[in-house]
Amino acid sequence: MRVTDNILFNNFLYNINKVNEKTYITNEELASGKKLLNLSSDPIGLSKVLSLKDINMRFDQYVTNIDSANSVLNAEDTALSNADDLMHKVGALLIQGANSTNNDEASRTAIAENLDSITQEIKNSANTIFQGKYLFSGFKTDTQPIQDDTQEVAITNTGGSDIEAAISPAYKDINQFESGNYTIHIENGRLSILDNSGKVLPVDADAKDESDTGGNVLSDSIDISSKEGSWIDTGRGIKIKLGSDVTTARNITISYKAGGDYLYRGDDGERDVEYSDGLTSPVTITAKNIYKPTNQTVENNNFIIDKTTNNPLTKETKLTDMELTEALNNVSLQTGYEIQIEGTDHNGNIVSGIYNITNSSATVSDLINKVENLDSVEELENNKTLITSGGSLAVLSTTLGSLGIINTASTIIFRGKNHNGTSVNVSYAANANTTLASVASFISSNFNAAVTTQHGRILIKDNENKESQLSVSASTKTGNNPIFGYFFEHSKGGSGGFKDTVDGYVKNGHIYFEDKRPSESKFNLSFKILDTNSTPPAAKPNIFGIFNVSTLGSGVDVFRELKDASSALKNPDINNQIGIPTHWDQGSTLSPSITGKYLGGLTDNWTVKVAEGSSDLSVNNASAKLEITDSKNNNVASIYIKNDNGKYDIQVKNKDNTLIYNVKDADNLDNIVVETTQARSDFNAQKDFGVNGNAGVTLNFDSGGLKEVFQTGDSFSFKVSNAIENAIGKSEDSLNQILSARAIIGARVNRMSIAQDRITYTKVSNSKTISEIEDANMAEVFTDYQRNLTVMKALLNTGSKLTSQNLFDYL
Amino acid sequence: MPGIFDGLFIGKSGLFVNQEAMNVTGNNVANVNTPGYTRERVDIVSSMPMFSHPGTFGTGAEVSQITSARNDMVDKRVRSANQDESYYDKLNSTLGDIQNVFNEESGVGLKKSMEEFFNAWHALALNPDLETARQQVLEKGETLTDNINASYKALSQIKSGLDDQTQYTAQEINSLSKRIAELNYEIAKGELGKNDHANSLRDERSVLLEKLSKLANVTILEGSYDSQTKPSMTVLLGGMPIVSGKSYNTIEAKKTGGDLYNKIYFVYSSGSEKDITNKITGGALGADLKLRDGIISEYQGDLDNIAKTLIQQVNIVHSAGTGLTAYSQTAGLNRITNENAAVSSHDAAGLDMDVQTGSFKVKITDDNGNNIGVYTVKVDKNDSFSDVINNFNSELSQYATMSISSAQDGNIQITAQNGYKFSFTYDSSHFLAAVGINTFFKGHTAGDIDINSVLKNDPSKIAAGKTLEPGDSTNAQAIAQLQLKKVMVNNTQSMDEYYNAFLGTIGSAKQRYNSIFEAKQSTLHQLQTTKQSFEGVSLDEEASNLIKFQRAYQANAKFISIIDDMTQTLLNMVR
Repeated sequence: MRVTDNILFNNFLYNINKVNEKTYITNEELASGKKLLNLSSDPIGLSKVLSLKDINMRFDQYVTNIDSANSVLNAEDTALSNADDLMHKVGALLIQGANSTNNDEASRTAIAENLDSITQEIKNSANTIFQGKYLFSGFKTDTQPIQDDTQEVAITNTGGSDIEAAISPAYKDINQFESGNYTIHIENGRLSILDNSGKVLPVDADAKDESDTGGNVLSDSIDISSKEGSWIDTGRGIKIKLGSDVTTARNITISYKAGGDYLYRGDDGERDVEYSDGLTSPVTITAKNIYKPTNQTVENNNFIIDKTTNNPLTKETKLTDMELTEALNNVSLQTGYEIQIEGTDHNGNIVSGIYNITNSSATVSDLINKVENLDSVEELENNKTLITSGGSLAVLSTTLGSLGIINTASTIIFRGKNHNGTSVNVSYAANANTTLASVASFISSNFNAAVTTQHGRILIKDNENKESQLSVSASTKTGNNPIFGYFFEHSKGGSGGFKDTVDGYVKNGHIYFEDKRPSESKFNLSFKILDTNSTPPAAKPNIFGIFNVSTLGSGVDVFRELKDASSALKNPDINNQIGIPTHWDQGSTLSPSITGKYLGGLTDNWTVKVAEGSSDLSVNNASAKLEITDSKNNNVASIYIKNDNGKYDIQVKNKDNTLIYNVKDADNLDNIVVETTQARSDFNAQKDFGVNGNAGVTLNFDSGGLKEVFQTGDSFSFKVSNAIENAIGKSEDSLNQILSARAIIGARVNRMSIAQDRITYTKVSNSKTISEIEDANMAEVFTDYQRNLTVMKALLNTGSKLTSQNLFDYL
Repeated sequence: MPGIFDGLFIGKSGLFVNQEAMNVTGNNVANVNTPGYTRERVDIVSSMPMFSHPGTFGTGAEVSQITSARNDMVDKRVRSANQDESYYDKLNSTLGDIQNVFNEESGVGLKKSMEEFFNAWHALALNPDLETARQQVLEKGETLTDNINASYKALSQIKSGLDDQTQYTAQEINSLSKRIAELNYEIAKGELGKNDHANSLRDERSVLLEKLSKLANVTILEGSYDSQTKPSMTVLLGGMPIVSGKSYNTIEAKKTGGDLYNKIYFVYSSGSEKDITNKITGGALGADLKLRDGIISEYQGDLDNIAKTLIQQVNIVHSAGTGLTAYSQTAGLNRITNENAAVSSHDAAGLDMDVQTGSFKVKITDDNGNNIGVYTVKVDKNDSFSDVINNFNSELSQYATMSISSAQDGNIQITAQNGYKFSFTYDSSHFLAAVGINTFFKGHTAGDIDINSVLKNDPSKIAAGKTLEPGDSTNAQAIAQLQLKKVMVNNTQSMDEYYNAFLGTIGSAKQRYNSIFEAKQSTLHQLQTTKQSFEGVSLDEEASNLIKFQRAYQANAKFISIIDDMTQTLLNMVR
């Protein structure tokens, strides 16, 4: 190749430039310590670094979030540990109070006052302010969570009655009336309360508080036939006293303002903290969660979307627009479908109804409204398990002969009342081959009820819901033999059902129904879908799925229990309760009921057992012995009954064999006093109960016209409770409730600390990777730099040599 | 038989030839550093011989022509390498500028501000009732929108710089083609004779052609382009002859009829014009156009995508929430051009996003903050905006009315009745976000994204919650979570991932063009070396030639002096 001088010069220049360029980059690397100088330095490495830096920056925020969450959680825990300590003190005070039951009123009052001030302290703890905000009031951080509010009632129109109305704390297991105007309707010895729209609202069935002895039962009306001049507590915040007339039909209007002490005024808001990608944890807990009982809530398990918006369904979603997510497509509701609603209310009474989708504009809200207004259905069950001679449980196809009830052709007499109270008295000709199914259809047509069997028992379900007078008894014409035992009320019709006690709402694509009555509940619900466009109607896939219990009704109202404890200490025995008795289980026909007051010092469960039975107590000289035992099987009392020429001689002896009740020639088996424990020396029945004498647990038995059977070995039970002892139990429940809230917070703290460890670890490892990609290897850079310098020097030397020699020099 | 004086003539021709050769050598040495200069050589031939009886006798030497050592093949390759090199040089250096805009350390730092923006929402989610947390959201939001605007504007500036450049380049091309045409004429004149070579003119033209090649993708045809006129050289740009022998045509870069950027026109001698913008694909001008119309526009489009997604996603969540205070009056930010258009066709309505079937909920409170109720306004995708307004009013007229302002404005307005206020708690229809009510951002693109001024004036309107309660931060949480939500590219990428990919695109484009540029640069260097090797002046060579020609000159002089001695001898014989 021909090499000209310019080639040499140009080459020299080109090479120097190249070396300079390299030196520039090395220099930059040296100065910044990074090898990722520009976006273009290493695009693949860059994308890795960028996403790792994203993660680290996000993680920094998560660490901040966790720190902030921890400070909130700490504040919560401090407040709760304070409440925890205070509850321990409450326990000690109550035990002291229980021991001083026999002592003077003054010392109990002192203890009660001590208790009141602790209650105030717990309230302060619930109202803790943290960083200028109320800690336990949900989203309403500017609202004091636990507040007192006055409860008021006023009669706006007496309707010409001699009537008084007053406030009364709602029973613990019943939701208070909402503020508003109500109508009290009185007719034929029954009282009912209606809201503005004329809807009958359920009230406590017996106007007696049984919240600590098995729970209160609601009813659409209260029997006030013998309550002239005494207070009738609806159990929902209002009590009423009628002067004399309890029969004339009339309306009284009242206005009510809901209120009470220690009400929760925050909301359900729960602040979440994102502590990792897509992971959030609640950090706040409300005073309601800690101090108040939960309400049983059911939630359907299918996530439903509105196909017109593709969003989770709302209350406004049309029923025919509901759709499941892709996997379960083609399940939908059409007009002409009916939704069969089945469930049980708070007390376990059966509630059922049908919602017909008559047109396509029907919405979820309409369905919820339907559910919210369903009343319960009356259902009767016999108290004798029917077993065939072969030992199997009776079903509808079982014959009366095989049950040993009837061996020859005979007549069965059915007596009782239908739904409306019309008496029914019919005869049925049966023989050994008559099946239960035939009997069932006979009952069904005469009493307008549906009859089924379950576990060898006969169930008679009223065809109509609401309050019902349905009653049935069955006996042979000859001998008046109660062949099926006694039919007791298995589900009470007109207990209100879901009316005013169930609240339906829609959240996150699911439908929820909440039992507004707090604490333990038998509330449950299910839907079935039937297509009535086809004959016969065909069952369709259930778009709702199953309603599962999402929140179990449980817990106590801590403040209410503290308040009750205090009032029990100030006024022992006044709040003692007797529960509603269960039913004879083995065919005894003399159905029990209880009146009177419990004066004992122990909270317990008493069992009444037939020690010596009688197949018919109405026969002259027939006798029976009943024994009452407590839960430890110790004798409480024994009852001796003997028929003396159609009248009853009754004697009750207590556990010391002292005769405490002795009546001769009684017309019926009412008012049998079985307990008169005068536990306290300062007890005064007049002062404490407003009654003269005869205070104590009183049993009544009624055969309902059947043969009077006490089946040997048969038993029923009921609860009795002493207010102070009960308060000790409730204070333990309260303590546990506070401890479980602390446990929840502890779990959250744990979760945060695990997340923080993981984040810190990941961050360190990310930073390492970032550094590997992004940071210059200094040794390498120095070497490069040195090499560049050497090359540069060499280049310059050669350059100067190359150009210094020329042939012209030799001319 | 030649005579004695013939020898003198032979000697004289030798002197002349060598003197001429030494002149050429001198000229070569003189031009050793002249750009484009091609070394010259004298072609020496023996003179016409004399024919006589014993044979032919030589009559000395003569210079037949002076040629330059031009290698057209190499010249052509150098020109094309030059074109490539300048094309990639421009791309590479401009991408360097673009890259600098997006460098996290030294550039706008958009990425960091996006992180900080979402982190501010996180902080608000933690402390919804803290005034400073609200201020932070606003400030970080402004930093973010400023940065998006700044990076968009930086790209626009680079773009308009390139656009200005096209005008200068067009003028340069015109002056080059004019000069080339002139040279073509000169060369034709100078080479009328058979052996005439207008070497220096050709050298000059060669330099100009090289310059032209750097500017655009020109095609150079030597010899006849059109057999009729037989011009000596034609230069085509985008298929149009900008030089055709001794005549030339200009090109022009200009904007017409509302063009945003210059287009390149070829101007016929008649004065009519032809748009050749799309045909310019090489040289510095080609690179300008590719950057201006392709690469940078694409990057701006990506930024727009990010800005739009940010605006829409944040607004959808934000507009369905409430701040600490309710509105007594508010107006939509976006203009509806046709209120009778279906809400689901945003183009017809002049909006950025579609409204879908769903509903939004309006919470009414009285002046003291007491809850009056929550009302649902249904929206069907086939409804017109007027229908929605009617739905709203039939549901809520007791408490608030919705209206559309006069035709010029076209904004939705909601005004509460005396004594009432309204706020929003839910919107599955995206109606509020679409018309710009209760939104966080305003604007439509990366160029005009900004914070809704309602919020700037009243931070309590930042919708951190779903209720009016001070501790509610569910909505802030939802906005913070948008950062990870895959909302871009058919819901496959989050905004972060999209921006990372965007940075990666710039980085790898810069890297690719850089390595192509380096390859082209070294090709050019090689070819220039080859060209030098063929055409360049070597001083050593010239020095040796000088010696050669000097010796020959001396020898010829000696020969003449010998002939002179012979003539003297001859004359002395006669005396």
